[in-house]
Amino acid sequence: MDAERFEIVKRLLATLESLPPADRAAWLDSACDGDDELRSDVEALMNDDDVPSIMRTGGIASRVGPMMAADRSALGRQIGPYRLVGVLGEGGMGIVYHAVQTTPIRRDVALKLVPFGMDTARVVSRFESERQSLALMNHPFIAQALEAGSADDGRPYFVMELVRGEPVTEYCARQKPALAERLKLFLQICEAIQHAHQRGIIHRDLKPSNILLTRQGADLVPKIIDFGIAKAIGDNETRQFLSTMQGQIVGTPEYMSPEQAGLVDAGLDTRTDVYSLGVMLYELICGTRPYDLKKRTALELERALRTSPTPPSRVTVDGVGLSRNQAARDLDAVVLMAIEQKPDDRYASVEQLADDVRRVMEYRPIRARAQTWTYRGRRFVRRHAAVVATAALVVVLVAAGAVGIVAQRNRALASEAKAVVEADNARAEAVKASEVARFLTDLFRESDPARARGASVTARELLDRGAKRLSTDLSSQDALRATLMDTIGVVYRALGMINEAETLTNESLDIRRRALGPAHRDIAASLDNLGQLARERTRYEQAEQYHREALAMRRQLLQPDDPEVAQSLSNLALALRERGKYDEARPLVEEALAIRKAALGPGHPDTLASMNVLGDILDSSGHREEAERWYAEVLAIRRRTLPPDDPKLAISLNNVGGVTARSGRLAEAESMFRESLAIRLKILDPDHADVTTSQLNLAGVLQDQGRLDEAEPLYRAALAADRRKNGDQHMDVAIDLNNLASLLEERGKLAEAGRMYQDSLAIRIALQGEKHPSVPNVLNNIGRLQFVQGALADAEHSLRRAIDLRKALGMDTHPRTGDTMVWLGRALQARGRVADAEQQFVGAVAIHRAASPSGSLNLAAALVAHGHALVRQRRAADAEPLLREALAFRRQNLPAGHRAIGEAEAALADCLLTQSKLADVDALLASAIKTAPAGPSPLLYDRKAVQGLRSNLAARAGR
Amino acid sequence: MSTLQRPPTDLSGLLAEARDGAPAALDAVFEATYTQLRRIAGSLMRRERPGHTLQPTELVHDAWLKLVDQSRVSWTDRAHFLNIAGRAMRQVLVDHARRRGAHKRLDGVECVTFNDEAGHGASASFEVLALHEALERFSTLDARAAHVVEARVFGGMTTAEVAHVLNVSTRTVELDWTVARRWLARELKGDA
Repeated sequence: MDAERFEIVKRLLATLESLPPADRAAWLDSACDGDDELRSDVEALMNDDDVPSIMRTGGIASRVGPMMAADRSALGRQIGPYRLVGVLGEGGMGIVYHAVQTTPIRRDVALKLVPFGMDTARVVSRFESERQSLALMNHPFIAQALEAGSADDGRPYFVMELVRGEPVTEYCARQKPALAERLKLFLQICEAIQHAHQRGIIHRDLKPSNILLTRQGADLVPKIIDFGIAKAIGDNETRQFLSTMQGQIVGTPEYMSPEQAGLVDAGLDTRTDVYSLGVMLYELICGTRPYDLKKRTALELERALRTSPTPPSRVTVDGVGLSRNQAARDLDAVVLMAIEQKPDDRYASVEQLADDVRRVMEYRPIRARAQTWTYRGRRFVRRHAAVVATAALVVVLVAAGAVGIVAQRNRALASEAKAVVEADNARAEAVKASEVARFLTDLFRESDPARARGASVTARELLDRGAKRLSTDLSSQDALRATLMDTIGVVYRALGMINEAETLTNESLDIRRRALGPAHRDIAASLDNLGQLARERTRYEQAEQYHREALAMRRQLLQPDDPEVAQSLSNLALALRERGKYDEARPLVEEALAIRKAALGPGHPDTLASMNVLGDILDSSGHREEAERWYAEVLAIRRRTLPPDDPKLAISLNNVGGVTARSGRLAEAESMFRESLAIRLKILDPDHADVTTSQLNLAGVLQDQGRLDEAEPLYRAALAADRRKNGDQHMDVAIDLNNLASLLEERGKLAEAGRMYQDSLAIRIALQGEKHPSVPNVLNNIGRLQFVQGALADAEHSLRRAIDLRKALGMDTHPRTGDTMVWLGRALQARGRVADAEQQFVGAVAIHRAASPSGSLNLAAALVAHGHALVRQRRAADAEPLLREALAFRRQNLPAGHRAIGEAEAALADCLLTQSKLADVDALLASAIKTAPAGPSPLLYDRKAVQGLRSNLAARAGR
Repeated sequence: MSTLQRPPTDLSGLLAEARDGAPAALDAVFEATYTQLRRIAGSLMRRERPGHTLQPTELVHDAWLKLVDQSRVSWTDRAHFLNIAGRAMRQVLVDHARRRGAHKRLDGVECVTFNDEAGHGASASFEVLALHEALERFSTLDARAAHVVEARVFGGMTTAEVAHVLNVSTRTVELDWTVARRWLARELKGDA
């Protein structure tokens, strides 16, 4: 069958499945029209409904674990006299373990275990025959091959001298030594290979992971490992690892010579090693390999190999190229000759290659120039290049009474900082602090500035590396590790990655509890951090518990005026504030503030933060003017001490703006919110929570000034951003819905507004239960909307519920309760229950007067409502001062032409008219009619009502 | 030029290019993903947690997070990434399975294992390779359907995401999947 045929089969199948089962056979007959083969092909694919387990959900997943874990299972096993104690890495032909030989002597070795599928007997016997020659090798740059054998399960293993080091190419990529030094290393390697060749041994598997740089005394010397193994394994088996499959990704081991890969018909000899060395030399010089062999189709690969490799001197990596002088060009020639496709075209021996390299270094003429090269395309059999990660071993230093750790830098793996820690009891703390600093510094220093595209991405990468490292390294340095975890957790939190932060902080806490006992200041620190994280997740009850525990521990262990105590006080206060427990929170933050002022000074950021918290609590509990004083002080200090786009400045602007707005000074508030938003847009992601906050604040104050067109897009933007970030079930979304709904309400889109309020309410109740201050807020809005829509009974119900909930929360005298009472009063009045209504109005006015002695928009609204009610009760004389006061305040604090002014004007006109004081009525009404709404609205007077008053006036004046 | 093991830090731009089909960008994304998946897999290997079941979608998700600046990427980019990651994931597993020599059973000789875990590992590797090879054969019959299988099984993509990436309807994707898995089921059974 071919693709065309299969296409037909598929189409038939599709149609067939759409037919009722009874009709299928017949239809198939006619469709196949006698082609029996076609029919059977289709039928073959009809009946199976058994999904192979590996293709089911979790099929691959359940196999990956065992696949990957199995390699670890070998640890602890005994193979002959060797016990496997660690994994050094995985090579192309097996896993290399760190093993300890137990008899006859004790020593550390490297043991390579070869995978299944090898014919062990042949492999081992071949190695044995090599061993004689191998034993003759004795060179400082060659790792001794010790023995070979077969394990219990028949797998061959090889034992070699253990070499601790880093692949030479990685060292060079990392340390970037000068070219001369690299060439010197290369020459050393050639020397070793030549030594082996002279004894008839070809390595055949030369690649960077087999050439490690290791320390001997003060020097770095190369050590070549894995001699003899490739040959022992044999050509056929080696080729087994390469396979030709159509269209599939197969890679050439990039150091493997063409004749080894079966592409060139030639035997394997010393020139095989020359090729591999040539590729490595190329890489050492310019940082890349000659051929990009990670293509995806055989065709692309052939094309790649048909091209001549770029001479090293012309390769630029990251914009850095080598000089183009004669020496560089000579080096080009040398390298290119070494990596000729045909062995005949290369250097005949490693010695010759080394000689030419030496000539370049001594500025003598080289041999390579005599050659000419042509490149022909080949069909390559490919295998995707294995990225071998040779782990550098961790050498443990033991100092007096303590343990030190040295970890090697390895850029290819997760970055590991070089940290030598010599801890002794007396200096433990100091060392710890500086080690933490060094750890983080190293971590951040390792970031390649050329790769960084944005601070948050790089930081995240680094954090993840650091976090990963912590779980593998430093296993015996508990205290250090815990501190590092905590610190990284803090950074994660700052980046908004709460999950990661929580994991690390919890781990840190566990470690500390185990190591330090039930109470310790570090444990308190971890608990406090967890509390902050819980707060980020809006799990305030949990946060409260954490902070209480931390606070108790700190009070127990520390002085009462210790800043850490203040921190826990402040945090606990915030958690309580979120749960509406303002009265409990206030003394805590006042205490924190006192401590911080004394210990840190009045201008210290933490002190300012506490002032903010206090302001926030005062604000939330209805003491607006006090709150404003605190916020203003913080803002003033920050303006003095911080740069103009500092985020803390934005916070303060926001806070002051908030109270300013609620005091009615809308224009003032607007400019503050704008400034805050500008700062935040400059330094934050557009979806960042703080940007949203500023947008919302600005929108609110625009709305209050009647600039609804400007406000609506801001509300919508905030809602969208919050939904994107948090999903639909989140407090922020609920708040956004509420705000947008109130705007829509004002624009007369009552139905949409009503839906949004209900959505908002549902979310809040789902997340926080009924007993949270925000729930009555929404109920207030819903009630108001219902009132405006004429659903008076529903309105009364919603509003009463809101008030009751507030009472239950202890917010009897909160301005918002006053607002709700005004609406309730209006609803009652509309239903004719005048006395009850007045009760509400009177109460509301009292509340507002207490909260804002110098007046507020809410007070004005209450006054207008009350006045209006009084007028209806024929007590216009009582009403007049109230209405005058309200009108005056509104005129002062709202832009001219705001419809609330019109409302007050109409109300006053009504009042005067009733008392037959006609003097100013005309002017008032003329102004009121301009802004009176045509349809249903929250206002007391609509157009019709105002017109009625006018006619009334006309009638009277006429008399 | 081939580049040494340094995947780009932020693939967002490349993904956009790859989405538009630029082959060099696709290569770069693949290579970065492959390298990253290998790194993650490798580091997991060193963590000595026998019996830990790793979800390939975790690997892919990890690689996704590490390679891509989340704020700049859209759903469509993600779908494309998963697509490429599925292929890379497949390659990681196949590499790993091959290295363990599971690609060929000895003629009639049972592989004696150290212990149960290793045994599971060997047979798991074998199954992965078997699927891979069967899928290879299938792709000569229906390349797109093979792609669908790769995307779903190795990349954990949903039908909608596959449809988007391949620019076909979800019905088409579902039909491809049905046909492919039936064909593969027969192949894999025959293998055993």
